[in-house]
Amino acid sequence: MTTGAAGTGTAGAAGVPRLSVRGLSKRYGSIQALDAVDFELRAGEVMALLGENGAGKSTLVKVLAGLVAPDAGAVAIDGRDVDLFPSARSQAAGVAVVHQEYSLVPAMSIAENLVLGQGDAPDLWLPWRLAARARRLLEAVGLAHLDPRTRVERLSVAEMQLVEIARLLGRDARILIFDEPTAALADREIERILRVIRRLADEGRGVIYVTHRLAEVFRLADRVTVFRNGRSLPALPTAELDVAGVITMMLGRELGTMFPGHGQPAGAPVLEVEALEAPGLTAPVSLQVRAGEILGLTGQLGSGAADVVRCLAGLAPPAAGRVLLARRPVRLDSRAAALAEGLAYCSADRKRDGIFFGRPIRENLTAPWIGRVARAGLIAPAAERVAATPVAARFAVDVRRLGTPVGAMSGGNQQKVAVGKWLGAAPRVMLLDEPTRGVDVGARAEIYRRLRELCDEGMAIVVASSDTAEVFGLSDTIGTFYRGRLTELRPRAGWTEDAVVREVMHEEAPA
Amino acid sequence: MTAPRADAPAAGQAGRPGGAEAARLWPIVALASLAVLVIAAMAVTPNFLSVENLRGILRNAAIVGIVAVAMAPVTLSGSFVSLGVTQSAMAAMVGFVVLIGWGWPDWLAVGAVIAGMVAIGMVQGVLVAAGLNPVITTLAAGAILFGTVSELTGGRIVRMGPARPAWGGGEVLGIPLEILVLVLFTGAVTLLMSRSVIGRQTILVGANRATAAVSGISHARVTLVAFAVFSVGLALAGILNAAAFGEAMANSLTGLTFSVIAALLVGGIAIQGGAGSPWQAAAGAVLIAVISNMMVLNDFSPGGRLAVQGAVVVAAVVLIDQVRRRRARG
Amino acid sequence: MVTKRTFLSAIVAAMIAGPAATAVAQEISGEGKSLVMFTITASNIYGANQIKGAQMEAERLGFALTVFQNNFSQPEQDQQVQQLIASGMKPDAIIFWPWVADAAINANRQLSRLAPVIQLTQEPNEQQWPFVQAYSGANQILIGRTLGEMMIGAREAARAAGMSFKQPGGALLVFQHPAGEKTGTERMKGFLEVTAGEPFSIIHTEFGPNSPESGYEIGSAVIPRFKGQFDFLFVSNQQAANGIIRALKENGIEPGRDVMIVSGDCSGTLDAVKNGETFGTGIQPAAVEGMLAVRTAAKFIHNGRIEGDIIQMPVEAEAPPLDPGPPARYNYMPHAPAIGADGVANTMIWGFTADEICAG
Repeated sequence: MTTGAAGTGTAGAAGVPRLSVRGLSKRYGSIQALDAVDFELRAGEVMALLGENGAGKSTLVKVLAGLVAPDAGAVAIDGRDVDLFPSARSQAAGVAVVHQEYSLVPAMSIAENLVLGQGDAPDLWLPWRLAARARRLLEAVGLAHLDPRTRVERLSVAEMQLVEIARLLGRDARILIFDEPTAALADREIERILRVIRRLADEGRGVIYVTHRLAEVFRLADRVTVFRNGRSLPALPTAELDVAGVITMMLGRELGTMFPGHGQPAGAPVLEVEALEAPGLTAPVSLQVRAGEILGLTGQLGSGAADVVRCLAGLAPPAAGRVLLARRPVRLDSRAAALAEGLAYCSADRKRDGIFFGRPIRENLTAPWIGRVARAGLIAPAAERVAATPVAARFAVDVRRLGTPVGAMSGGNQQKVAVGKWLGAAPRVMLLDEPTRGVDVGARAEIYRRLRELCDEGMAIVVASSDTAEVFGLSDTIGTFYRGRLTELRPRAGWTEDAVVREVMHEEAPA
Repeated sequence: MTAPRADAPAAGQAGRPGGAEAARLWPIVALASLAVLVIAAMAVTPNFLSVENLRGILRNAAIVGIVAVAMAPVTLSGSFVSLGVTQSAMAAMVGFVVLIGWGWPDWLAVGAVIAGMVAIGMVQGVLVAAGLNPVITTLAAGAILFGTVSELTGGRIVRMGPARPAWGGGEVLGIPLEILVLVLFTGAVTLLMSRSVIGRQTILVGANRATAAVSGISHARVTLVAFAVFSVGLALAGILNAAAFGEAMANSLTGLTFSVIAALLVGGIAIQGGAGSPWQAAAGAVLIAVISNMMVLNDFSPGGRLAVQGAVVVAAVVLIDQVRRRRARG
Repeated sequence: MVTKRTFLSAIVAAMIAGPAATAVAQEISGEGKSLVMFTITASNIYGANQIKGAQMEAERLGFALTVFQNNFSQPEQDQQVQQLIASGMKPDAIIFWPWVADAAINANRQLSRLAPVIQLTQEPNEQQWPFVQAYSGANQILIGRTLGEMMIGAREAARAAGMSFKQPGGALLVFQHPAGEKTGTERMKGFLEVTAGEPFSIIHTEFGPNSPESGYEIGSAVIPRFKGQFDFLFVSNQQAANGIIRALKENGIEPGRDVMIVSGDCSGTLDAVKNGETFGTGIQPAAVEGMLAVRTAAKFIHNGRIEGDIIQMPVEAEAPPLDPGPPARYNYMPHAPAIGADGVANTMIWGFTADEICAG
């Protein structure tokens, strides 16, 4: 078994590409998902795949993974034409996909997970062989320090992601596809994953890296292929590009600035938090937000920034401290209580608790405040439509599609619904946890702009995010968290983006 | 794994039009299969279309339909199904017979049985709202009810005697009472689910309990209301059956649990909640009654009838699953 | 082979029962000997009455009776048999109603090693007989005959009322026990025997109804189909008949005037017999069956053997004194017809009225 795989080519080397796709087309109903796409991946390179949601990159990944059969076009691996459908053929051809969702079995050991689904492992029922093999694979992903007998449920999210990668290496993959592998990770863990991916490419594999995070692209990728409306643009070396240029390519137009301007918060604080102690926090937290102000809280995953927001939302009752809303103390012992006080909340995981996936957009938008539309407990459909329309319009959701299940929309549109639904409740404070996770660039800018508008109308907004660029770009005031403690809190003017990143790392500079 | 991905493939910002249509597809599939069945029934079954037979079908569907419609809110709210349907409806039936036998006026007995059933249902609702598994809670409640009634009656058949209400098994304006109640009750519960705040909240809780909680929707309140509606349906079914037969016992209404769940599933109400409308449960009950009637008229054995009924449920569930998958895939 | 085994177990049983043989009494005295009974749940009216009768008789005779009830489930009964064996209890006789005869053979075998087995309600089949000493219970052929006689009576009454029949001898619609169940086939045998002189024309046989609900469900499908084509209905029991009557009325057929109904046994309310909607029903006294089973067991313990093929108990208003002689191979309980309100009012078997027997 050679984890090193065949091929010695390096980035930029001439010769036969590891993977070449020519004229690939795929149609779903009336939508041309892929339109005569050309794509090339060399051995030893990391190719970033960029594009807004629905631009076609996910469909290309599915074709390569053998999950859908293309309508037309050809795929060649190492110069030989291959048929990748169904997925067993794709795997046999050496293609492996690392998804955002993990397919590991939490209750089983690392070693057992590493051989799951691999029929051709004759001697692996012997525990020592299993462990030996596991160790080899763990070493390849920088997890040599872990005991293969450890159960997967005890690993951190990043470690799970790495085990997932190790598992694919076990299949002798020549082409690795990463589909937003860092979506759920904090900066330091991202660094770890990126290092492993770089090494895997250096060993001769071809790596396709799908992401929304441009910073990672410039940190990792050798070349970039941008998808737009089902078509592929010619690949360009990362070295020849800058962020603005990539965004322009993705959108097909100038984005202007990603972040809207900043507000002029004034007057008395709307929300005052005094010596708050809550689950996930190791020290009391005090902060204030004024009307028209966006307060950004940032830190690594598990640093406490998200816990403050969850506590204020009434999802994790505080153990001590006072919370004042317009100078009046509020009870936060249940979500319903917090909501009644006018505290809107949008979680980091919209599919889990942000939207009703199979229900129409209209019902999603009115869910928290349907009582306001009703008369004597009854809903008049016309009244509901009238009430939902401005809310949808406010967050740039197509008002003609209010009857469509929200799950049928793109991730960006889902997020707009998840955030926008609160407008009808006329909240005083909007609490957001990772407001743009898994959202494409266009929708992201849209959401930032709408949040700023709300602020300008007098709302107070608290954003928790592990994306330091987002917090720095969006906030009027920035607070940093480290290990459950609020370490710094000052107006944006007192920060640089580098300072925010350094504070979040808290002296532990990245290697 | 890839099906419900948030950033689904191929959907441009304009999205896909197919999803909403697929959502509306199931009732059409159900109605179409009902039509096909009726045509098939006419072809192979003599007398199928006679007024008497059709009325018989509806009357037989009525009791199952009323309970299935009543259970729809429980299922829609994500509390799956009750496994104590037979025993609960039986308790209502025995209760009504006993009260009439004691000489209570009809209206008082009806009120008392409904109130009693709602009380029993609310207890179950409280337990489920507190986090107990609904399937196990209802199963246990059913066992307790059966055991209690069985002990109290000593296995005997209880009778109304001469006080048996004249309206039992009767007709109003030429429409059999059960069918009238089914139609009115279905209309009421369907409207409750589609046009009231609590109904909307019931469906949203079933669609995603976590999102509902974040949106300030009370799972406990939804669950209690769902169990209350369910109990009213159970009481109505028990009362109608008791009035029609004038007698009841602990072993009455055997098989009702299965028939009701079957009606719900065949009607296309999602077993995990969050999708469907109560009228579909009534349609499911009628569909099953048609199939059952065809089989009786074509000399199927009781075992054969049960097997076919089971097969229909499996077919319906598979079909619904396919429709849903397609919808998720777009 | 069969006789030899029976013989052997009879000897074993006789040895167990040995000391009892010395007791001289007009009636048998149980002297605290223990009986075990396997039957259906008391939440069923038939089971409840049977258990009540058995308990009364066991107490009267001085036996200790333990009852195992199953909820119409052979697996449950099998478990109970295992539990009895594991308990180390050594009963002097076992009264056994196997819920599913074919599936209960192993239970029969195991019980026969523990004590003599008196089989109840369900006549033993060929495979069961080697493990059973005697049968005690209903005589299904007799019930069929009784039913046939009532049906002939119904025909005479109909003729007297000037009813004209749709078929020679009267068109008969049959609602029978589930297809293949021995109870139904035996009863039909007796019915055909008695009506051989002027047979009814059976136009259709429907299987399965056993409760008012299922009687109504099946009736409301079958009756429209045969409307206007039948004069008489043969229904397995009165409970099912009560549901079928509802279906008849809804289809504009007046039972007792347009058609005549006879039901095989009476579990269910007798209102319809009293008001003439049902011409007559067979009174099958479950309590008497329970009493008789205890008596059969007592007689076997007392004598250690059987003698003769059949003892058919006659219909008597009060329970006759217990004959201390050995039981027969088949010990049949009494079975009486009840026609009309008078019939119901005047029927009394072993101290039980028809209403007590049928509806409890």
